[in-house]
Amino acid sequence: MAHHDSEDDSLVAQYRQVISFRVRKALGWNLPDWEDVVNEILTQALQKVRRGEFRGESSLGTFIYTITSRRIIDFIRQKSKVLRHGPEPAPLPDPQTSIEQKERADQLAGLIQSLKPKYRDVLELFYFRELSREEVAHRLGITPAKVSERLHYAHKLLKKKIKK
Amino acid sequence: MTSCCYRDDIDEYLLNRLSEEDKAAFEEHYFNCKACFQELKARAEVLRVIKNRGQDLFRSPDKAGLPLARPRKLNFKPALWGAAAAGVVALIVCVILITRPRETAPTFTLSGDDTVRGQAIGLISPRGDVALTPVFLEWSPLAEGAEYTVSLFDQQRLWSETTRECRIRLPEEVRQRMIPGQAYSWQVKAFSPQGALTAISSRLQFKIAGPN
Repeated sequence: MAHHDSEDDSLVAQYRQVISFRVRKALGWNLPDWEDVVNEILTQALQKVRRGEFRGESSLGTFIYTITSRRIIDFIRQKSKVLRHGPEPAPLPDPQTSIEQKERADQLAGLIQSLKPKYRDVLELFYFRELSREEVAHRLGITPAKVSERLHYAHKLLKKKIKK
Repeated sequence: MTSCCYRDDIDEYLLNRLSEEDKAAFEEHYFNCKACFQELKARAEVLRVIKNRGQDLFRSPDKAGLPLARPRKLNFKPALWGAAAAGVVALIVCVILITRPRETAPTFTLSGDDTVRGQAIGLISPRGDVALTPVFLEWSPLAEGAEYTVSLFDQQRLWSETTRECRIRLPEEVRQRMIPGQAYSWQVKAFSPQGALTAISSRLQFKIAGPN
């Protein structure tokens, strides 16, 4: 089967966001190396696709997930070896990214505060205090299903408002 | 919001409440499901703001915070007694409805390759050639409240189980009996909450890669 390089590129590049999320969740959201790790994963995935190593036995998503997971494990092992020889300096945040992130976080925080109390309460108990749905339900005198419904609706409202 | 059957795992994943196995399954899933990934990203962002700013966000000058537990008052008002009586009547009606004879299920006579037309069950994985013995069988959900009977075959039925979820874990003893290089097939039947058969999938074949 012939592969066109540009098609392969765009196919694999579609996974940049999901790979980035997985890497940052595993290694820490503020780790400065995360972009390098993501680029390595994408390069490796692209090479394997071009070499015909992706045979369609699983989905492309699963194939790239496997490469991502292995690279994360390798990175953690490498980091553990380096850290044995001395502490790592604190990462310096990128100023531009920090400003954008802060503005968005400010906007979200304002929207959360503007929610009706019944939605704010479930967000506080479930996410901030990390109670289970059953515990939240007990505190608020509602059913666990109602808790899920309010969480879902709170997210829907936030999504709608942040798009404006 | 995605209607995917993994949606309940999103919060559990973000709050690190999933087992290692379920976490890996969910992570693989969102590499394949755009809807779940978009929802996951959105919720992760909200969670980060709440975690970082929760002290300020949820502190209000006109309340000391949410009560540790809402005190439950027992007021024996007539309206409450009426509601309780109505609840008992509803329970009796439910028991009568549940124990009444079920509607007759349609008779299906199928060969191995036949499919019931009408409502279709989409089988997701495993399918085709697979590298390893599958851990989960997964299919598209039908209506709310449907019950599914999943069956695994080689030349005959190897295993069968019933669930309300849209994926099921293969028991370890069944997985250990499955041989690389051999073809298997699986099938899902869906039943309504009343127990009537509503759909049968075709038998989907898969083959575990043999030793090299």
